Amino acid sequence: MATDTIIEAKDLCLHFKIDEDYTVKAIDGVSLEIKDGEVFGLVGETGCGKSTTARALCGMYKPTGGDILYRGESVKRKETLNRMHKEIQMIFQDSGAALNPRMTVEKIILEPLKIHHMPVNSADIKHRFDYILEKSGLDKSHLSKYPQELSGGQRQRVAIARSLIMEPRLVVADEPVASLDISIQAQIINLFKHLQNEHGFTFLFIAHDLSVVRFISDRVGVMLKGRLVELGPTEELFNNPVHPYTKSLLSAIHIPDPEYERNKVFLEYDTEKPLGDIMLEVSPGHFVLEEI
Amino acid sequence: MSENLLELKDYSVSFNTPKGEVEAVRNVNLELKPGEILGVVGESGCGKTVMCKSVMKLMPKNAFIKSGSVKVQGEDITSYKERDMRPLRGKRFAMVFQDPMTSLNPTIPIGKQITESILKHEKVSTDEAKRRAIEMLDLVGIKDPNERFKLQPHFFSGGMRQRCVLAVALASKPELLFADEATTALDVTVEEKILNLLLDIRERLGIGMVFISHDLGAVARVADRVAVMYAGKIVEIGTAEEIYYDPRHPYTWGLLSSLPALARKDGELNFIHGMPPSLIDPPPGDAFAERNKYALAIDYEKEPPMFQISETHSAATWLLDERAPRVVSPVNLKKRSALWQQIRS
Repeated sequence: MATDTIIEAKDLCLHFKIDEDYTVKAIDGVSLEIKDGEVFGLVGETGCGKSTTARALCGMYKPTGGDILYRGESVKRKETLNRMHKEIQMIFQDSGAALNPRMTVEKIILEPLKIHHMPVNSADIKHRFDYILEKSGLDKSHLSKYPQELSGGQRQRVAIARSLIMEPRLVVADEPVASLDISIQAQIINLFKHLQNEHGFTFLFIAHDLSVVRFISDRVGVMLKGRLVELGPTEELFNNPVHPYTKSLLSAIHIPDPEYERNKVFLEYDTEKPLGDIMLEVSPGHFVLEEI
Repeated sequence: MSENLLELKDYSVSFNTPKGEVEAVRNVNLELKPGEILGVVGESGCGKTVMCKSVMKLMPKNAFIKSGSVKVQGEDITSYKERDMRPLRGKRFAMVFQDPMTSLNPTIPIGKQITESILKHEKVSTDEAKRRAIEMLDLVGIKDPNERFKLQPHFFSGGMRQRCVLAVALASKPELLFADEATTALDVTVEEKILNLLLDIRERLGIGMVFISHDLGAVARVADRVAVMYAGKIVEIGTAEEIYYDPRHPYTWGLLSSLPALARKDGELNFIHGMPPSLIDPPPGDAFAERNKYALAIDYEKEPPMFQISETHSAATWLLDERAPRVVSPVNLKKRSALWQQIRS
């Protein structure tokens, strides 16, 4: 298999058994791969399983079906899982809740190293720390502060710095800009873009704001009810959506243009409709779930 | 000329806090006609919510109206006390908040929460109120209203709950509806449906709305006029076309150009540097000057007045003074949007 694939989900299933006759199929046969250096966007409505997929890919849940391959090796092997835990980092939506209020910024950023028993005081790490601080747009004056003394945008920067300190191969960002003001959102998006372009970081980027996903992602996957309904290169998918659900989702995007907005037609999609089983390739790299 | 539904004149609201007086809303002038939707945009903390809540007097004890007046349908309510306000709330104006679950009582069936609002304001029989409540549920697009009438909020999805909140708000037939980030927490497809519902309700009931949002896309969908707020002030106000296609205030430029929706994929997003100023003892001059790369020397000393650009459009920036250097707006939305639509079709 190609070496440039970092992580691959193969027919991944995650079924939560609530009781004897009720099972929640949070993820139901999702196959996707994330390549080195790309930003993979995952979109879909609330409860479609995008966050669960992201968490499963971080190794936070044990799949009930299918498999996850981390750099070609199954995570069912303990060593692979351990390596994956070290090399994948996560950023969450609510940075206020994700940062320990009783730790200073410096301690927060260095904590992952401690957890993984790495020498915090070595010259190499010190150098890396300064470098990441600069890249995340923080400065030394922030280090002694507590999260509640920072603004939302600064807190999200701290969360990003913390995820980068381990030099991860993949950063999973779950709605990292959803709760930020437009202008700060733009700064954080620029930061993500910069980290990818200049430093080759790989991201799995989850958002419900499709225009953000379009701006930042190389490839996009659309999820519905635990299934992947469409997957393709961003521009290809946005310009030639095939699945009716994708079309509906795209027609709902709001563009800051009153004339366009007043005349646009929203295509409604009945999400109760059963989904097909087979992914078809409609153009190179563009897959669509077959309709029944 | 018809009577204004809502009229704010030189309106200022402040909070007394241990750290000093927070001037949350400063000298706002605003008019809303019946059946009109006014979008209010701005960053968090710019005073958009306080402005609306203070009209309904849903404020904590440490808040007070510092100056100016509020008129609702010509009636001056500035000095009204809680007792005077109670019959007006719901009847004259109602408000819908961001999180529907905190607005609804989780233990009471939806139907009862709507009838409660009707019975409070009108002398009607319970049967009549129930009939009206079911009509309301039908109006906001809930299917099988007779069945759903008896269900508690947790049986509904987020979008459905927001529809229920709307039904509660509209049941008492208000003339004016404040929608405070009412669609922010919803999925795009659900948001689209709720926005269409708001437009439909306006069409059918002819009520006026103040639509608060930080999403300029959603505002473009519904608003007839748009007010841009910064540090407690309205810095630019005009029809939606004027604000989106011909913005004049540097802050509006900043907001519009930091949106990823119409950005070029290979470029970076623009953003506004810095943070909004503290509203305890706000800076003299233009509050936006510090973050404004087009700021003039006068911006730091003297507050710009509202410059009238057209009958409906005005902006508070010294750039519009005849002595100021000519600055061309860096955002050309029309051009970018046309390009965008071309790609799509």
